[in-house]
Amino acid sequence: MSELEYSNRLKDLFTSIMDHDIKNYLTSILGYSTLLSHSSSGDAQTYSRIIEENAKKINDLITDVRTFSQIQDADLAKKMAAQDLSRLVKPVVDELKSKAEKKQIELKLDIPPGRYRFDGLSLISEVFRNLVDNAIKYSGRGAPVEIYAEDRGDKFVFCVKDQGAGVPAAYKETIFNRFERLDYHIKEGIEGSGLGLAIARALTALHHGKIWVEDNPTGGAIFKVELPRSRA
Amino acid sequence: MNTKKIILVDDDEDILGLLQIIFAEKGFEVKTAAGGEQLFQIRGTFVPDAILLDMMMPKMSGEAVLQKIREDRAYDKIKIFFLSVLILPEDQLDTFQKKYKVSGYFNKPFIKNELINNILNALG
Repeated sequence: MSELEYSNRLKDLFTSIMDHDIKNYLTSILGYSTLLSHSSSGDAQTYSRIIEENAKKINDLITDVRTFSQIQDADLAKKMAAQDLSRLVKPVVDELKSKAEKKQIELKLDIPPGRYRFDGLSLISEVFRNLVDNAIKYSGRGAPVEIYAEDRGDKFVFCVKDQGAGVPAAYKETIFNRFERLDYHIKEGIEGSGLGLAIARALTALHHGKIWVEDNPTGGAIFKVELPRSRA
Repeated sequence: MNTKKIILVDDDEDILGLLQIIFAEKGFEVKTAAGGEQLFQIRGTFVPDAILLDMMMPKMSGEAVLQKIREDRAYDKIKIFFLSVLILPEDQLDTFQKKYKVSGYFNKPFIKNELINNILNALG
């Protein structure tokens, strides 16, 4: 894909997000606001919650779009710095802890400090945040989420293991492809929501790594991100 | 006046809940479906006066659902309405409505009274 084609596709993607996702969220916000003005207090609580959730979804989408634009910044490669996986993942887990607790989900973090070092952008935290956030979203009540890493010689693999419904074989590849599958998106609607996994793939590629999903042998999914270790 | 029956089809749970409240408030008997497959299941036991369809849904698009509906003569008396984020140019909209005998096309976000009054008028 040439740079021009790429930037045109990106523009189309953003337009389709504005057209589809944001309009759907606004439909809920405006619709429930109308109901709110003449509803009982019990209903009002539910409607307010839905309005708040949909407004947050719009905010998350705008953040995602901004992250995606940052990835297009050619100077990013120059901003790579020495990173320690543990130092990037811990704040993400701390931040998502309260969200997990609402579903009584324990986030089991096992990544020793200093063991997995790589050259990269702090922006790659977005990949870790997205995977842990998804694991919480798709896990049932009380099902723990494990966050760990595996040694692979001059590389390492960051893993997020959940006990949710898992990812059907037909979607194992396409869930990372919202960007490439723009035509499908426009014609058929969206599988899943948000740009998170497409961003995760783009960011991982920028770090010369790869991302994929495997079945958890005991049920659920394991999302894996392989990154090259720093040479020093 | 007979109670009007409607099936609402949308993959967005919040919007489906919203439509359900709005139509139930106006005295409709309402069934909801998260997609085309569920619609055809419900249709086996519930004969509606109208179906309100979202256009962009995963698995089976609104247009694909509509094609299937139009292949079945049993649906001939059921009025079909569309609710979509897609704003179609007037000529395209006209062709689309004639091709599938669509009784109304509404854009999201919608205005509650406009949606419900138009559907009520079309149902007579």
